[in-house]
This record gives sequence, C-alpha cells and structure tokens, in this order.
Amino acid sequence: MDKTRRRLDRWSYWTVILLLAALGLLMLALPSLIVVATSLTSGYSLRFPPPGLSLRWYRSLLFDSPDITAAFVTSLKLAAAATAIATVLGVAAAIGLGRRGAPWARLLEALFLSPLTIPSLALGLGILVLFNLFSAGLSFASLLTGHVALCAPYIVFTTSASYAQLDPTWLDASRSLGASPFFTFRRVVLPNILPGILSGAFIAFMNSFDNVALSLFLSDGRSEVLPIRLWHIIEDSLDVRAAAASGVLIAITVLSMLLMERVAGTSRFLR
Amino acid sequence: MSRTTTWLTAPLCLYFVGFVGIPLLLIFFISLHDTPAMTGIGIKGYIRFFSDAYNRGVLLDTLLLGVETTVIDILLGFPVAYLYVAAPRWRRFLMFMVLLPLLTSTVVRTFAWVVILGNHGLINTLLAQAGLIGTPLRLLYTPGAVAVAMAQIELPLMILPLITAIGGIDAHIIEASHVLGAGRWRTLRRIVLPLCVPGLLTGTLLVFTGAVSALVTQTLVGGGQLAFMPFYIYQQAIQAQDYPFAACVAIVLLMTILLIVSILNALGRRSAGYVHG
Amino acid sequence: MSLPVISRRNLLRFAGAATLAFAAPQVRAAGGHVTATTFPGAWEEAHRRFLLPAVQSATGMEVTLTASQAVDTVTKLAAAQSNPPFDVVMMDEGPFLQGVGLGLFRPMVAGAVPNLASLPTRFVHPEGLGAYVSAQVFGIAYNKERISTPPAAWEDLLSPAFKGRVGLVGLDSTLGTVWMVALAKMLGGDEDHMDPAFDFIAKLLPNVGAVAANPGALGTLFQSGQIDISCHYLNNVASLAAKDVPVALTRPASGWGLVRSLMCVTKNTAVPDLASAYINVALSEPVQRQMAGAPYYLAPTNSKVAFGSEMALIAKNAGEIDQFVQTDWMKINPRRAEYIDRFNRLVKR
Repeated sequence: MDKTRRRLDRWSYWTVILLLAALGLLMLALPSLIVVATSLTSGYSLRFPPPGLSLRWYRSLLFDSPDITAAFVTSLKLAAAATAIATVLGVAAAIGLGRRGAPWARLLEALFLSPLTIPSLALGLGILVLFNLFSAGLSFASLLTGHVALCAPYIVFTTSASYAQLDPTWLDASRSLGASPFFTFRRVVLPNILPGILSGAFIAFMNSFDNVALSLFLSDGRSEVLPIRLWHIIEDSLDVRAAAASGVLIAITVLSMLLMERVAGTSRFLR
Repeated sequence: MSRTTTWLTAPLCLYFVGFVGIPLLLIFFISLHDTPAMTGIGIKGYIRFFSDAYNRGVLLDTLLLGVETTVIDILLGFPVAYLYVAAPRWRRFLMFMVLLPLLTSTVVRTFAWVVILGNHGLINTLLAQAGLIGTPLRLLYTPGAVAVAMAQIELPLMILPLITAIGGIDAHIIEASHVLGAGRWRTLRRIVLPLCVPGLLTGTLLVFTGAVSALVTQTLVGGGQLAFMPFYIYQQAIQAQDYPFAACVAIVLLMTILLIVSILNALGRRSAGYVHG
Repeated sequence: MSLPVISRRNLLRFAGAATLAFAAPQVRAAGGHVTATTFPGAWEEAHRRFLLPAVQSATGMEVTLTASQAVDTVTKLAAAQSNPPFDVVMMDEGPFLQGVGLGLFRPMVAGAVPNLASLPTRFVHPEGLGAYVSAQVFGIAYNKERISTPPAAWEDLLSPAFKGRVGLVGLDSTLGTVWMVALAKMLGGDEDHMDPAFDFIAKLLPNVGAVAANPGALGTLFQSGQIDISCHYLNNVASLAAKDVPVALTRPASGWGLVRSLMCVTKNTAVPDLASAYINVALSEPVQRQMAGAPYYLAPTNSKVAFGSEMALIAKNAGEIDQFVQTDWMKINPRRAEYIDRFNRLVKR
C-alpha cells in the first residue's frame, strides 16, 4: 500500500471516529447543561437563551413549593426503603448463587435480572391487579413492593460480579482454620464484596428515585413521587421550578456520583 | 461455602415468584377475558388488537422507535467507546460524561429535550438568528424528536458494554493486522467489529428494551398525536378501565420484547462461537 | 444576577418544612389530613395559592392535593371503592353524573358545610352529593402578539394562515368534550349527532400543531410557543397572561361556552367531616372572592361574592351565564368512551 493511500486511510478513519464521538459526547452533555442554563432564567418561560439571569426559581423551589418538597421526601423514603430491602434480599441471593456455574444458578440469575428487560409498566399493572385481587388498597406498601423488584437486579448483578472475583482459596482457608460461616462472611466475604454491594445499591437507589411507570400504577393519591410531580409540572404548567428542581437533582447526582466513585469505584461495575 | 449457602437465594426467589412471576401470569390470565367486566374467556382481546390497523400502527411505531434509537446509539456510542479504549488519559473524563446522564433523572433529561426542540428552543433560536428560517421548524412532537431524545437517554447503556467489548480485544491482533498491510477501515470491518458483536448485542438489548417501554419520554416529547404501547396500556387500564384489553396490550409488548431478546441471545451464542472458534 | 437572600428565617422555614414532611404521619394525627383532587393547570395553582392556606388556617388540617382530570378521578375511585384514594374530589358535571350513577359519592356531613346557605339552591345537589364551586367560561384563546386581528368564530381556525399553529385538547378532558359539543351545535348537530364536529376536526388537522392531554397542558403549549390559537377557559388564559404569555380570550360568534365544577365527598372516606369542612372553606366568601379575582377569574357560586373585573366583561351575573352554550351530559356520558376513542384515532399521525 503506498504512503498517500495509507495516510488518507488513517486520516479519514480518525476524522470520522472523532467527529462521531464528539457528537456523541455533545449529546450526552447538552441536556444537563441546557436545563441548568434555563433554570437560571429571570423570566416566567423556558426560552433559550433566557432573557436574564436570576436565582429566583431556586428560591421559589426551596421556600414556596411544599408540593415538590413533599414529593421529594416521598421519593427519598421510597428509594431508601426499597434499596434497603432489595440489598438484603439481593446480597443473600448473589451469595447463594455462588459462582454461577450450574444451570439452575443461571436460570435463577436470569429470573433475578428479568425486571431489567420487562417493561415496568407491565409489571406495575400486574402488581396492581394482584393487590386488587386481595382487595388491598394502594398505599406506600404497594409502591414499595414494586420498587423492591425494580432495585434487586442491580444489587444481584454487582454483588455477583464482585463475589466472582473473590479468591475461593480464602474461603477454604477460613473454613479449615475453624471459622464459622458467619465469621467467614463478616471478616472475609463482606469486606471484599462491599464495593459491589454499595455500587449496586447506589444504582438501584437512583433507578427507584427516577421510576415513573411503576409508581403511576402503584401509588395512591396520598403518595406522589418526585418524577411524577415534575412530569405533571412540565406537562401541565411548564413552571420554571421544574427546571430549578432539575438543577438541584443534577447537582445531587454529580456529588453522589463522585462520592461513590471514591468510596466504591462504582464505574468498574458498570463496564 | 457454595453448597451450604444455596438456601440464601430462597427469599429473593420467593419475592420474585410472588411479585414478578404471579403478577405477570395474572396479566396474562386477565388478557384472556373478553369484556371489561371480565366475563367470557377467550382471545377476543388479541383478535381485537391485531384486527385493528390503529393498534397495529401503535405496535409498529413503538418497534420502529426502538430500532431507530438503537441505530443512532450504535452510530454514536461506538466511537465514544472506541475513544475511551484508545485514549487512556481521557478515561476519567469520558467515564464521567457517560455515567452522569445515566444516573440523572430521565424526567429531567426528557424535559431538556422539550426545551431544546421547542418553537422557542435552542435549535429554532439558533437557526432563526442565523437567518436560515423565518418561522420555527416543527421539531417537537414528531417521531424523529422522540427517537433523538430516546437515543440520548439510552446512549450510556450502549457505550458501557461496548467499552468492555473493545477493551477486551487483544491489541496485538490489531497491530498484526496493520503490520500485514490492512488499512484502518479494513481492520475495523474485519477484526474490531466482529469482536465487538457480544458488546453490541448487549447494548442493543438494553437500548431497545429501554426505548420501547419509556413512557415519559414518549409522552412528553411525542405529544398527543403520537401513540406508543406504554401509554396505550396506561390509557386502556386507567382511563378506559378496560383491564382485559390493557392486559392484552401489555402481553403483546412483553411477548414482542421477549422474542427480540431471545433472537439477540441466540445471535449472541452464535457470535460467541464465532469469536472463539 | 440577583443572588437569593437566604436569611436565617428562610433557612429555618425550609428546615421546618423538611422536618414537617418527614414527620408527616404524626402531624396528620393532630389536625387531621385530607387528600383532595384538583384540575391540572390554573386550577391547581389557584388551589395551592388560595384554598390550601385558607383550609390550613380555618381547620388546621393538612391537605395533600393531587391534580387529576375528573374522568381519571372517577375511574380511580371506581377501581377502589372500599378504600378511596381521595377524600374530596373536584368534578365537572359530566363525570359527576357518572360518579353519582356509580355511587362514588356520599352526602356532605350535615352542619359541616354552613356556607351551603350562601349558594343558590340549584348549585347544590338535591341529596347533597356535591356542591358547585365555580363556573368556567370558554372561548377562543389566541396569541395576541402573533395574531393581530382577533378571530371571530370557530371557523376562523380553519384559515390556512394558522397552519401548524392550532392547539386541540383531548376528549378525555371536559374542555375537549364541551368544545366538540359546541362545534356540533354550531354546525347543526347536537350531543347525539357529533359527526359535524368530527368532520370539522378532520378539516382542521393540517392546522393542528399539537394535541394537549388536558387544559393545563394546552396552556403550556401557548407558553412554549407551540400553538397560537385554540379553545380555552377564561381562568387558564388569565393565569397565563399573568405569567407574561401574550394570550387573550375572545367570544366566538356562536357564543361563550360554559362548564360548571363541583366538589364532592367520596363514599367510604375515613374522614367525611374533614372532607366536608374542606368544601366549606372552598365555598367561603374570602376564598371565592380570591378565586374570582386576578389572575384566575373563576366565576363564584357564593351569592355574596360579586363578579370580578374580568368576569364582568363577559357576564354581569350568574343569570346571564346560564344563557351560554351548555352540554347535556346525560346524553354525552353513555357515548363518551366511543367519542374519546374516535378522537384519538382521528388525530393520530
């Protein structure tokens, strides 16, 4: 192959790759930037660019929005409770599955990961029907039921991943030295799989906090969750407070992400 | 530890049987009723669904959205993942760029697209200021807008498995290909892409299933004149109180997704054999 | 750029609100707690701004307010009759009659709603299953910056000048339904003969820029510049104008339309007395006066409250309002599901 052709090949290759990657990165970053920029508007409408800059909508969000504050608290409680329950069930299941060798373990794992592909709207409808069947009214409990199923897969997935990296000879060593299974778990297994558990719990929490489809079917009038509240504000009154709330959520996400990366190296579990 | 700890899977197993398995079976059972009052057992609901061009249109539009989203994400996701592997110094920055949107609320990100694509939004303002258009282009509430917004929402889920796949390719193979005189494009086509197939399939699975069931984005960016399966389920169940038909729509969506997932899995098994063999 | 003044008092207020929210179950026990519905959009804003503080100070109870269209509220109540998700609900006439037929409401608690005495008897359901809190007027809403000559009739929406600029609202909203009935009547049909209205929509489709799910969402479309003309309620238009959206309402040649709204106590609610007390506050003179004033302009039903400034341009009193185009819901209700489905199919692209 002559030199010019080779150079053309390399040049065109990297141009295309870099252009598309730049477009991809722009796509990834743009929405968050736009939301933050519009939330700083001094006007009533979400025009871009905003007519002037002000923090008035953040003030209004903090001090004059009991509806948004209440929904935020509901979502926090829900995500925290669902993640806690799912973590206990999920970590136990991941350890029980062991090293994913046997066919039954693979089948079970597929079952545990199924909520990742099942449309959560269908799941929500099904759980609603189940509750109706037993004439159990909708409440925080019905919401929680659905959200635990939503959270569990992430915890099973990341915990299994870190459990698989655990050197089995350590477990044998611990056992042969006469340690009880519980002691082995607490002193050998847990410290090694903790980053996996924390990462899974973090991702599960964020997913539960963000879920609309399940909550749409499973919440009663008394427990409105934040994403549904924001959705209604965006659709029905296009209030700049929705952008301010989004700005706050983005800030919380960035901070918690940086924290989790330091504490548990979350990104390792997503690759 | 493994033999004695098998029982530890029991609690989650029971939970999933009770609150995932049984609910889905219940929907299936309910979908086999002929009237909203739950009388008459049969498949009238499914006949009603498939004999009506409107319903078939809703299903096809939803699947088309899934395909468009996946194609856009492969096109944009592959270069980003490739860059991540090729430029180790940029990794922290790139991973941050990919993870931040993944963890940011979907409602927030969807909302951004309403602001970007609206008549007074970013794109129309820029075009108008450049003197390219007199009246705003209609961007929001179009199928294209939903596909673009959806692609942004799902893009991280395509990039992450691709990073794993590309990162797993032995650098020596690529080097060998260059030494033997193959150009970059040829190496991409003949070596890199085939070795990425498992990652592509995982990404496709996540992106496609996410896109076809994304209620909020479909509704907010799609507007009242486009209809997709998820909102149709909600509309039939809650607004029309026709639970059997809502269940039919849900089962049709679920089965379609299952079918596509099994096709992708089958392809995955074949490609795994191809890669190793 | 103006920085927010986060004074210590504000911070304490926020901290207080946050603790209150976390401690909500305990607070509920003290002053009582009701869950109420309102309509999305201007109604929700008005209720949060005027009604909730008034309820809080008059009764000390906590209110969870959920925005829900009347039709959706009825289906949610019907789905959980033994354990209703709401204690007091906001209804339009059509869904109200449907709800009465399904037995979803109970009489207001005798003696808990003294303000009923200030309402003309025709504004109270004979069995006390609901009380009218307001009447809303609808006409042609248009963006006065972009449309210089005010439209004069519904037919004007068909003008090619409005290509892609007309807004519609779904038939599962009351506004969508009453507008279709008004169109049908204008074109020689009525509640039982809706074809002329559907034909009108079919002709209008090239002009349609967006279809909103409810009147609140229709307002959003004006605000974001997606549409410039549509049917709309006076109160929503006025509240948009207060947010600097250049929108005005004008009378169509075929006349203003009218919709009345009620509040009802749900059957099997655990707190019928609190729910009734909530309605009492909604009917009270101060709240009705606030709701009738800027920027919401909701026609009052309490006879002690005079029509506000903006309302006075449309009608002098309740008697005049009765002459506006109205809807026979007894005829519409049985066929409503069919009309909703037909509309959804018609507008799908």
